[in-house]
Amino acid sequence: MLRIEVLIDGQASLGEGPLWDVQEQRLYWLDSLGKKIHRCDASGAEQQSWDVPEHIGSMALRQDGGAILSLRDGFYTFDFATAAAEHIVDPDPGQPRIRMNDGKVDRQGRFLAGYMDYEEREPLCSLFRLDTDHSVHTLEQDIICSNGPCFSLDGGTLYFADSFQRTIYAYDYDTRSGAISNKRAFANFDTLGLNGFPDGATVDADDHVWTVEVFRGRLVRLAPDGSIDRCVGLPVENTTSITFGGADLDIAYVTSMARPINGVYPREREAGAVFAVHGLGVRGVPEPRFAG
Amino acid sequence: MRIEVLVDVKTTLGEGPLWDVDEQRLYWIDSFDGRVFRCTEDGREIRSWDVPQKIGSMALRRDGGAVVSLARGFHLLDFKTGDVELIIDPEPDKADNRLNDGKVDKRGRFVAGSMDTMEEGPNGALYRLDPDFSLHTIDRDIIVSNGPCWSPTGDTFYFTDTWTGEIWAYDYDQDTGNVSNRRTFATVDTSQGGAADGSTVDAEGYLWSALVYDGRLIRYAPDGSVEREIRMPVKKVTSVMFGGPNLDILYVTSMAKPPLPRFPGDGVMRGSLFAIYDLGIQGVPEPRFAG
Repeated sequence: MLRIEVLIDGQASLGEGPLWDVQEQRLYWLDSLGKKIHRCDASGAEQQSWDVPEHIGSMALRQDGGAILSLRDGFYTFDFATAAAEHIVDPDPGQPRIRMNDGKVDRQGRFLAGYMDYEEREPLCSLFRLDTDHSVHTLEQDIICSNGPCFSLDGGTLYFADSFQRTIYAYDYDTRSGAISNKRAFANFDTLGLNGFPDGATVDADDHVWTVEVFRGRLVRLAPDGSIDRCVGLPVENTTSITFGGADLDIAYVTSMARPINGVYPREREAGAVFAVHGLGVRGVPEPRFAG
Repeated sequence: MRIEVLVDVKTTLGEGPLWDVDEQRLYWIDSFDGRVFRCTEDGREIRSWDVPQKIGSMALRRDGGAVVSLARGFHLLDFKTGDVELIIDPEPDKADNRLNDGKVDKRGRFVAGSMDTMEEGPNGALYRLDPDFSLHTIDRDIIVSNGPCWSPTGDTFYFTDTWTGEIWAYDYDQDTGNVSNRRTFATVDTSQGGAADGSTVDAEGYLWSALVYDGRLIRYAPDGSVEREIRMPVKKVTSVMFGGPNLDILYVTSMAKPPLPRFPGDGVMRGSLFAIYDLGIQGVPEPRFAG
């Protein structure tokens, strides 16, 4: 049966990017504005944290160890042993109003991450693909806030949200080249009657898309045709991202944020916590590592 | 904090969670289907009793059995036989009304109010049933009576008419059971379609209110300010009560079917009984009816 628990009462300013690694059996997540990477086991024990030098949008583990990060000013490699972050490339230099935000690895091991406007108002941003040879490619432009990139089980569909367009888009994704085409609206929150905004997302083993309705505190499961399959309310409004993890990949881990929105702090004590949602009856799939 | 579906029972209109310290059992009701449920603190040993009408609330009696507010009046319920016996129907002429939420004051009187089943007209009233089974009207012109409860001292009575968007406080004379000085305790945030439903007061004197159709529990300080909110997995949360061996588990009832089509639906957790752990807050023992 459903059980929602506070896994980590972390008070994260902006918790983001939950990532379950099957090899390590560990959950990683980020505090984007607190500039931290956190890690724990499935039950929230064995916590460890690392500082990063800039606001952090997303992280993926590399096949041979360490991580790839999207920080404010570009892609970095990260060494957990030394906590050293090494700048690879700034795909969109000279724009102080934007920072790199959400990202994820495709089924072939390439890393996709996009930017967001710090002021969350104007379409100043692009979505980039970092290939395993560390070359960078522009996939999409005119984005206000990149969020929730994730892939269908066959890897042939990319889901990607511009939070402030309140829309999750779907693209055909060429698994060989990593090129995208045929952009269409997959889920428009206005049309679906959802009051919040799409944020982080993942695809489960039934090929359904899970997103979090940020500012309304719900998990939303979308069928492959974009219709709402179910909604699950959570203890806080400002839920930010979701992944499935645990030994059986059947626990939904959900991040949230404690930072004030328009100057108002959340009234929920648990804002900024990582939640573990048990008993949804749904499993995720293993998250690929970055192959570069 | 941890929120669990304690019992997946899909009550059409779950209401009235009541933890009895003597029995160490949780009672709750399905108002619409006319049923009383009971289980242990962890959701085991579930039992149920049918009652012959819609049920608004229930309280245990000191010497066994229960007093129930059914659609057509106050009744006694015998758990052994399942029989109900009419005490008095306060509104024999109002076929569109039924009795709704009720609770026992610190001296053992049962206070319950009525509601317009269309939830439109102020046709209801608030009643007090004394231990001698005499009935007294203590407020009137109510659309939907909900959330009666008392401060830990028993001197302040809280009550809401759900569709006014307000929770009221009254001075409560514990010697007589009379109310006076009704004032607005809190103005409810109805911006997300919510309305104040069942409530309880914790050991710190803070009032917990279920914001039905909005899916939030609100904890109000004694001055009426919002101390915290908890969002629930379902929208149609209906009532709250602290229980468990340490009185530190918050039990929350919910509604599987909206009473009228204009209200939202919920998913697979609809109508469940929820338990919230690790709030770090305790309730107070609920008195039994002295009659």
